[in-house]
Amino acid sequence: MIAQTPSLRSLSRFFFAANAAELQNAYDGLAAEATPPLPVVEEWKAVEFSFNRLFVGPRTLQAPPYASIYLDGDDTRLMGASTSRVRQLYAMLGLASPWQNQIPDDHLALELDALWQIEQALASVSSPQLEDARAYLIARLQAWVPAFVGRIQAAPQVHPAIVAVAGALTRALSTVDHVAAC
Amino acid sequence: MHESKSSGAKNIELALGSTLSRRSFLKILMMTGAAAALPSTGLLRSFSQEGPAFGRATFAGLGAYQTFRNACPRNCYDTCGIVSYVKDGVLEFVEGEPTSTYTDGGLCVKGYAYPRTVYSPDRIKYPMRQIGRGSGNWERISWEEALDAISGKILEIKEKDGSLLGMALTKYSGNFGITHYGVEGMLSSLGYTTRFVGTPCWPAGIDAQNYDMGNMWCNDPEDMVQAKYIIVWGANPAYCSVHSLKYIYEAKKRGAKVVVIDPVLTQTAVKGDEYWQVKPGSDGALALAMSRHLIDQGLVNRDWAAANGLGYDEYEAYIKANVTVEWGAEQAGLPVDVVKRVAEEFAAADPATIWIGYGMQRHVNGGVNVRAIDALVAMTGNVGKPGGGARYGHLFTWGFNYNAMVQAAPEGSVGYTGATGPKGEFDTGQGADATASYTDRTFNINKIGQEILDAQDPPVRLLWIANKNVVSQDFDKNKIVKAFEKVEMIVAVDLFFNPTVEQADIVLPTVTPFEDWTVNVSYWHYWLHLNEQAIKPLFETKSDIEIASALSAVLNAKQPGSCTFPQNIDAKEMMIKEFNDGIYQLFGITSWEDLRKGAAKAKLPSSASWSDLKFATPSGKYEFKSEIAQTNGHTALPEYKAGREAYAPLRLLTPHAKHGLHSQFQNLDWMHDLNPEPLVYVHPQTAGAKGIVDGDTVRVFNPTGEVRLKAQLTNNVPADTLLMYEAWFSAKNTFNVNLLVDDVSSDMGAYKTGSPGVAIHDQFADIEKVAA
Ligand code: SF4
Repeated sequence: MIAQTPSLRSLSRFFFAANAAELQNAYDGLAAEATPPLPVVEEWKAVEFSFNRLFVGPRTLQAPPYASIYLDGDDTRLMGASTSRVRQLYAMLGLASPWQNQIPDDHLALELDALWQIEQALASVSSPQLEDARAYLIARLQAWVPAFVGRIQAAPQVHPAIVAVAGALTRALSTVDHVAAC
Repeated sequence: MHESKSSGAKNIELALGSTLSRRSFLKILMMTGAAAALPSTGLLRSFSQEGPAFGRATFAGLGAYQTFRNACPRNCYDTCGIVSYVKDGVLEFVEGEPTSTYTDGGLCVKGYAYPRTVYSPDRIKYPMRQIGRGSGNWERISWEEALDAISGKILEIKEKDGSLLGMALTKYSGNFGITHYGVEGMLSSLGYTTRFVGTPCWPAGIDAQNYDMGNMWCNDPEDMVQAKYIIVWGANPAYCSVHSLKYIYEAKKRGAKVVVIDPVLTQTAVKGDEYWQVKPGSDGALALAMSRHLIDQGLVNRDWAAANGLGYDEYEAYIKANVTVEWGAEQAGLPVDVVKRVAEEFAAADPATIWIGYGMQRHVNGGVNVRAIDALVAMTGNVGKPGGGARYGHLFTWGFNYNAMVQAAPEGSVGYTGATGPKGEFDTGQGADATASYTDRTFNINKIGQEILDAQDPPVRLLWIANKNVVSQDFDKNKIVKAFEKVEMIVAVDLFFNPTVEQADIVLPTVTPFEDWTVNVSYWHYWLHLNEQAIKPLFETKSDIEIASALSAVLNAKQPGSCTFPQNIDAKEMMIKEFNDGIYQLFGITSWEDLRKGAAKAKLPSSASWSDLKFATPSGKYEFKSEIAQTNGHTALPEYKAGREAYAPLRLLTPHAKHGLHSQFQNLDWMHDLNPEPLVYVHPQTAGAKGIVDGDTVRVFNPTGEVRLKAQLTNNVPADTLLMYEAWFSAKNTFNVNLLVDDVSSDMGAYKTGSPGVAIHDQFADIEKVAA
């Protein structure tokens, strides 16, 4: 069960990356454990440009990495009801985003980070509360990530490395789900 | 949320529903040591690491809204006051300012959509650099990297040219908040630079009113209720000034007659009692014809003209010798008897007023046409009267300190030595230092493409663009894009990746009004609105003055003394510094903080401008005959001036849209739902002759360029006219009316704004059907 937690962390870092070097770092972390193996990247700038078109800008984002876009039925407004809910969830865990009200709390990287932190804690303590929080977060991620991954796959000229990471994300979430259901 | 939701997930869902359960959940986590087991070496931080205050906000104050006062600064007549509702630091919704009788608690649909601007996923979030202009290949950079690159370029230019004239600024009306003149301040604080001066919007009319009355100064729009006769001449408030309509309706209810003059049957026109579909650019001829009829009928208020006018007799003599009602009516395309009747009704009504729209002065004869209309209002004695007046606009309430704007050049700065005029309509002259031996170099804001292509010694090396979507809104788009190739570095400060940003090297993310401190007034109504910072700036966005301040810090670190803009500014303090006693007195407030309770209105001696009939002209009179106009190359009297000759079979009009403000707002989804794609409106007769049916894809073309879009057939436009509304839809749509609008100047504007306007509505085109 703990086997996939490093990849949760690398996935979080990948989607939060600010530049090619950070992307590469996170990707290397993922590649070390990924099956099937991630494609070898020749030109990290190309990944960065594609990453920005998908998640940061320019233009209309190809795949906004925010839960509310997919969960609240409002495609073009951040900070929706589900953003506030996940902020409350973090608070229940005694956690908060240092970017509160600057970067929406439901950024994929932050939700993955919360899940990673829970997994880490559960490795050393047993807590029904944390189990519940974990189940909630997984269900939540599974409710929106498939649509998000669908947009990545459908985006024109998307870099194959990002499609591969999206695949790893899907697999990571389906594995944790399986474990959680046991 | 998820079909196979486990009981654990359901427990959490329940707990999320109440503050108490969330608190006790956390308490248990803490007691059992589970909270401490969270690594907190991730992105999310624990309350215990950051201190209790860090997380308190997420538990406290739920359900309670905080309210803030804001203003819509987007160059709309209405400049609405806004009340913003914020919960847990999130802007939830906005409503119109209830304390302003003008805003009257309501916004337009654009205003109500503001949270969707703030929280659009497509906002520019970080400073970014484009690797290859127009490539769409953007990398995120830090503010440090961005400012390092820009400051490096500035110092390189100074080194190479011995001056900063190679750095140019174009800025206009994306945000009219007073502190945003800090952009001009930033340029001044760097030295003498090149400025694109003037205004694309209303300069010909500004000059016209200055020749006639010595200033542009309109009555309070709220006094339109007192008018007995209202002519809305080339304005479309149903689209562009929705809050003014209520005064027109009220006047109608009290018995006033409303006549709308427009080449297009607008939403305003259908609300009037009478609509005149005039030929574009014929407004001067029409006003002269109406004046001729008043003269013939003895309906001129000669007492008023004799007491308050200069040169009326000469004007009358000119009209008698050169104008007949028949000629003017024919020019305008109207029946003679109708022109006569309305002229008579207008003269008989007391008070009677004309709202002179900005559309009608966007012609090669636009300025002189405004003068002829002004004269019509004056010769009926309606200037200076509540409920009367030649209403165009005003800058009466704009007497702020311009503290952010007025910055001294660094010592030893070298600049331009030629003659220079005002830098736009808001140039108060306060920044000018009469003893300085150098000035900025000024270029025509409306000919940015040509000016850059022509610029030499030095060329434009670094172009700073703020509050302006040049590539969408300036004229002759293709020329602009070509000219940009000559510029070594282009920096754009904006909210969205619009067509201008697409041509930039570096983009800096900026704030919406809700993330900013400033103060706003209108050029139409007389209210003053505070704009408070209601929420934290999203992502890494900064306001114009914060950018200036940060740039100053980097420059001074690299080369001490190279920039005088204050470093480490506080945006709120900068806002406060814009106020002065004059403003406090005018608005009857003792402190800017009074505005936190609501808007304030200027305490006017009369709702009428020029109520004391002391005009600001050299003679102190209303100048039917203006020597200054003559000195500036125009006729001293508002004589007839022919319009632009047609250069293609059909006239092309590209006015303001309903759901956008120039290139703003239309990119939001709400507007998109209301107005999903650009259309060209064609008269059925014209369409029929070209084999075009409703919904056909067409090509509209002229020597400047072409656009392809769908045709919509309508009787609202004349048969010889095509109409398409200006807009930037979004990155998905390359539609741009300025592919068809050239940069030919209007007659006036240089006197008071530094450059003439543009003959936006003196454009022509042809249309043909193409395969979809
Ligand atoms: S666009 Fe005009 S009418 Fe609409 S909210 Fe802004 S100022 Fe008011």
